[in-house]
Amino acid sequence: MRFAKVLEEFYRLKFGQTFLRESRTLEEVFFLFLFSDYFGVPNTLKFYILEAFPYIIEDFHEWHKRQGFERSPIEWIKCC
Amino acid sequence: MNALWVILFASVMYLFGYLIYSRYIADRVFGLDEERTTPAKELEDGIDYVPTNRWILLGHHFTSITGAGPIVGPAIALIWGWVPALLWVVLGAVFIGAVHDFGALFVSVRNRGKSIGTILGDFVGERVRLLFLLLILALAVLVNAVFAYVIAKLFVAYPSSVIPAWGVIPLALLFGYAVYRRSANFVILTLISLILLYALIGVGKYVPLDISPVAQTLGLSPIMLWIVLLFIYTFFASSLPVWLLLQPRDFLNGIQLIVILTALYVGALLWQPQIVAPALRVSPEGAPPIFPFLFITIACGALSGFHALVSSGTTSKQLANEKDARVVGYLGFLGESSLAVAVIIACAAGIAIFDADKFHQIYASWGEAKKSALLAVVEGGSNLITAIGLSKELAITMISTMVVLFSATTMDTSVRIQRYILNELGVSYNLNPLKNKWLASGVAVITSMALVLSKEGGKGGMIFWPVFGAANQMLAGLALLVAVVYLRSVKRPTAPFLVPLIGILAITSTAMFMNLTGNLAKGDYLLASVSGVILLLEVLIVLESVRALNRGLQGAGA
Repeated sequence: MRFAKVLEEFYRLKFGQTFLRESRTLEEVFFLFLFSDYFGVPNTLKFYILEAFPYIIEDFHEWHKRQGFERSPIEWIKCC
Repeated sequence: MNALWVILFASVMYLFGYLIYSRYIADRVFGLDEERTTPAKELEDGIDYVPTNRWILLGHHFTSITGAGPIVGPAIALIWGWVPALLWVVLGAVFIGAVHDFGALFVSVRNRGKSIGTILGDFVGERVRLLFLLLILALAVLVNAVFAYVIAKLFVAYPSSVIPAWGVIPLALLFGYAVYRRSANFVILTLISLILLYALIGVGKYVPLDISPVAQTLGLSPIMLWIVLLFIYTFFASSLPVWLLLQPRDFLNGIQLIVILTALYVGALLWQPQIVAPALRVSPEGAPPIFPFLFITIACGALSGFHALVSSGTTSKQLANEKDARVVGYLGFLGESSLAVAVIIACAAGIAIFDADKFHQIYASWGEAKKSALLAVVEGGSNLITAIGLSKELAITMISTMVVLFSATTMDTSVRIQRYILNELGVSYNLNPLKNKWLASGVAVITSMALVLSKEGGKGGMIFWPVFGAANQMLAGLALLVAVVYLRSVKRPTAPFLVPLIGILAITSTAMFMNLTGNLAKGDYLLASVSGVILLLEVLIVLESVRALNRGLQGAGA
């Protein structure tokens, strides 16, 4: 394995992981805001964030799996 | 005798442990199965659960478990002569310590990467999980008290280490920021940071920072002032999000550890120093009896319960293949043990390279050894690494800075662990004040600071070292217990875990009982009560262990 690769893996384990975990927490909160309607919390900004959907659709699949939904919980997003 | 024989003996035993004994544990006791899916693969999420190359994981695991512990313990224990210290470090590692780490990793991998505390709750009972949390809490208080003293003592004895030790903080922040921005090649960034770190060591040599004048104005001893400053720093570092920014320091420290260990061994091979320490001293002046105190003075390097937290906390979630557990868990511990062996060589042989009498000055009595063992490590270690062409002064600054850095990260982590546990207890028992992070950090810092400052204004911080060793080994006892209960539940042989478990519980309780009665007789009520608390936890753990094992036996019989 190349030295650079070894060093990068070592970096990921030593502290990259912590940063990734923090950024994922932020991402989870962001998604919760985006889809709060479907969990019974009214979202007044719904129409303004519709534009963002095409960009987040791939992450959406990962997100719902992390939240424990095997299939997409939102009927009009057929990601799987 | 030539120190090369020590290296040869350790190498042969480590080879035996890795090639033969660990293989026996892996195949006959655990029955490791490479076909079985590990948590890293089953629950892969790109962050916590990631299948990782075993050698890289070994590097990460080794540098996470190794701190300042294996440096201080063996240095003090040399008071009883170098042979018992070496035998306990090497044989303890091969037959107990490394097996314990390997076991904790294995049990966690078989239980979806859960931590030892959770597995204890599941397999042995909620009460033991609570004991486990209280024991870690006690251990963390002792760790802070001891390491605050270690750092303060080094800052006062070697003022040249002050600038590099504090300078690493802004350096790590800059490094973290540069990596985050991805503005340059990662390898180049790492190299630049390391060069800057060594440059800081050079600067420290020319600009030593002595705080005695400030301490005098304030009417404090320099050690006490450093201890107070360190705790103020730790309080903020553990509560503010700054700790996130301090993470890169762990990365740089990890690389340092590998550099310094290599330098010590290369130095020892080049110098081939003669051992000046006596082989065995049964009753040195003022020292407690060699049995059981040798075994608790050296915890890290021979057996350390804290490792189970690392094994089951992060490492078990990264293991790509069950068979890799042997390389990572067993070999990782041998790495730590080899640092303890390097310290023994530095203090027993390296120390006399330039001044034949130095060893006997430092190890004249138990009181002197406890106060000055650290200086023996710095003196002996720096003598050894002069072989690679460094000047003596630079070598001293380098070794003292490294010991400070390792101790500082240990202290940071330990205050944070204390805060998490206090929070967890607050949530479990609905104690609102403990849920507050500032208050929890405050409690953590104040209890540790009170402990260290109550002993002759901070000068006696090292007095808690044996109690710390005992608590650490009791924690190891709990991980051994989990392994025994788990192995019994899957009908596997348990002897390699049961025998060390009984031995450890017997040794630590004898030592704590002697510490309690001895200090009561001396009228040292503080140390007596600290030993009493640990002994009480010990008795409860023994009772719970017997209950759990009985239940296991009845279950097996039914």
